[in-house]
Amino acid sequence: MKKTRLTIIATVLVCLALVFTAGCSDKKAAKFPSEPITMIVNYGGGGGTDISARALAQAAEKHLGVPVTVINKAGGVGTTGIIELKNKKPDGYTIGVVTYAPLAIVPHQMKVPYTPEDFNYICAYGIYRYGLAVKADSPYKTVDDLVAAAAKKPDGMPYVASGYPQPFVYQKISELKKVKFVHVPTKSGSETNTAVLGGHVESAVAVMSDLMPFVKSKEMRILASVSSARLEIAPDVPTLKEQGYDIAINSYMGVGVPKGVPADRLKVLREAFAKAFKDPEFQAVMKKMNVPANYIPGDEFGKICAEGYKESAENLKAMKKK
Amino acid sequence: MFELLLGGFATVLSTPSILISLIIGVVLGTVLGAIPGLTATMAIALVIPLTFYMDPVQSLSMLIGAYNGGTFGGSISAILLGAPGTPAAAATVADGFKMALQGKGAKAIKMALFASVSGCLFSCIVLVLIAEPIARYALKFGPAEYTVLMVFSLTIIGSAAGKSVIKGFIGGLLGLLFGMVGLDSIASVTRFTFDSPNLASGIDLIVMLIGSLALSEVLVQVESVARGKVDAHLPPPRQPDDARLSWREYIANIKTIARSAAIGCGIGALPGLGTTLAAYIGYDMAKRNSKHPEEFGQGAIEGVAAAETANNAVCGANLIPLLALGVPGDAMAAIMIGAFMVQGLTPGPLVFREAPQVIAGLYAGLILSNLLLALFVMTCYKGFTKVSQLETTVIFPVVFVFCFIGVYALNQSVTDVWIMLFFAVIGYIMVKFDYSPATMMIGFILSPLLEVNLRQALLISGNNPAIFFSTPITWFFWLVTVYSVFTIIRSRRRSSKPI
Repeated sequence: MKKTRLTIIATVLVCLALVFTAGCSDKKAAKFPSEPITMIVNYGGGGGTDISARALAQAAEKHLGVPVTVINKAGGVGTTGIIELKNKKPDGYTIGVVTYAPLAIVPHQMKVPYTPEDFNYICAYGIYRYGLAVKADSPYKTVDDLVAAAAKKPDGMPYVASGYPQPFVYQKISELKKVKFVHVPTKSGSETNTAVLGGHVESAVAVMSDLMPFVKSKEMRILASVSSARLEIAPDVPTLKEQGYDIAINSYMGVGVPKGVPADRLKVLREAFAKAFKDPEFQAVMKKMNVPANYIPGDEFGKICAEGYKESAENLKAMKKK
Repeated sequence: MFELLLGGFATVLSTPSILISLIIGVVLGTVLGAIPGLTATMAIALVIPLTFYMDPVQSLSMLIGAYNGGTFGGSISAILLGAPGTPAAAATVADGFKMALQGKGAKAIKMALFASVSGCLFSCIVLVLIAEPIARYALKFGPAEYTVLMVFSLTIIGSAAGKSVIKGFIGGLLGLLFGMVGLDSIASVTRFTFDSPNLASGIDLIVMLIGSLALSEVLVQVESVARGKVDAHLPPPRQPDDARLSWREYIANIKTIARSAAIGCGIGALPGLGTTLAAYIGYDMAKRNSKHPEEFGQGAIEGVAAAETANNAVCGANLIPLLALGVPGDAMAAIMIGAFMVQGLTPGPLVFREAPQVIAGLYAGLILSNLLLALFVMTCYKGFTKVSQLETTVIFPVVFVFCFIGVYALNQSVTDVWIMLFFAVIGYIMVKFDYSPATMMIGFILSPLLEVNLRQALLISGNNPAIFFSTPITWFFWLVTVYSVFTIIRSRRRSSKPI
């Protein structure tokens, strides 16, 4: 008797569960999003990318109407999080931070199971700006001075840069002017700073937010903006292009989904993030972090990454030849 | 400066919210540091989002409290369980756990506590008084200087090796090799990763530590308990003195503490070296200069004092390059940069001018964190030592589980769990064949530092080795290296032990 009653209860429960979940999936088809969205950040907690991404996620929650949970998948120089994203179901419920370097440059340096073509892009929300810097008491006042000095060194002139695409600048200057620069890689922006400040190398290309404190304290001097425009934080410094070198590097942080997310869902995400970008709280965080906020629509960002992917292959090949 | 510092104390002490954050930081850091698998760094990463809503002094106090507490906390499990809670406490295991096995666990914890507090307070004084000149001097350390410093650091394997120096070197080489897994930081190509992107960032120090020192120790303990070789409990203090630390004992170790404090300070001022290396060098130097080097590794209280002073001295000293140059010394300091930036402050040469009150508050918070740490541990140490009175059959399964949880939580990566298991097996085999897993750890820590700096130096000099003899600093470290090798050989001869 007891057994039968238990069986009946169990059956009822199972039926209820089935009805309930069926209802859920119906709702899911009707309205997107109806469940929390997970956002994978491809760097560790507390860093610049993480903090800005969390601020963006928080702003996006308001417009999506569901929570956006941030999880960090650090490692593999930024690729682990992107691989994780690629392996997720393309249902729009998992989105991820996709930064330019691990997307377009790193795949040429190590084996990763993706290319920029494997993703749809929601938007880019931040841009990295780069400067070419020397120590304040350096005799070099312009990029021409530096090139002239390098021309006198047959073994090449060492410079520091951490990560990519920074070294591409020197590589292209070398090609243009037929001089030799030697890349001394460092692991972080602050190591780059100490190498220049300690006088161990002559010059560096680095992210502007890393250089700025020492520019302000008059211990370093920026010879050129290496981005396509003059720098917001140092508007007097001419760009490389203005100094006669047709060179510019750019790098971005953006948000993407695995390829194959239904078009209507992608549209919802894109609209929500476009609104989130304008959120004053998000803008304030970006300002505090010294990262220029810069909105690029998803399709355009996708194009930038795909082109950067091809270009990096050539740049790296040229660097290896030397 | 002193007026500012007094102002800083006044701010911290008169604002309950800051004081509470500081207490939370210290307690959270100590407890998480004490649990093998969980670390203070992890606690910090978890509370970082909260700090968005705090004022700068409050959030930085919490972080620095957790840093200081966490660096000490690792020693509790190192002493009571033989499994270090954090990499910084790896050097404490050798003598701390032996002391616990002799019934002197409480004494060892107290020594570790007062050594830690002394080390951190010493580095605070240096930080407050001469941060700027020290940071400027540290800039003279370029790749060549770091390379020679690393060559010297390799000689500490000699004293961590235990009975056989040859076995020590094999362990060290193994560590150097494991340290090379991942992205080659010069050529940006992957090595020894078997084409797995999971290994591209290399092996995490914490994963390696938990596997090779903590989990393998659990395996060793479980085996010896199962065979009935040792009691399932740590012995109780044989005499009341075994649980106490007298003022005289502290003074007897003051030379060791002072030396380790200075070493820790120097290591902390040089970015990239970190607490673990400081602890090993402090331990090594104490052993070399001791009148009874043979007692090291057998439960010498001096060994505990040396390692624990040195690692906590790094906490204060790490702020020297961070505040003066904006250069983080280790992972914890890098997280603190994030906390500064969220507040709209950039650590670096300008921060003293832009926000002197914040810096003063941070100094005050760091100094107070030591007092709070001492207060907290002295009231609660009995609770900690109770842990060791539990049945081993309860403790080790719990530690075992924490190892898995902690390693997985670190990067939410299953690969990390497999790597931990791999090192647990290696660590177990090493212990069985009388190799010291600590030598592997030292090699592993030094490997990337040595390699990167060596190759950077050669790139700068155009492959001319003269760069390694180009400055007085390099000469100084060559001389120390030669002296170090000489003393290893001499002490082996004297004790007529096999090399």
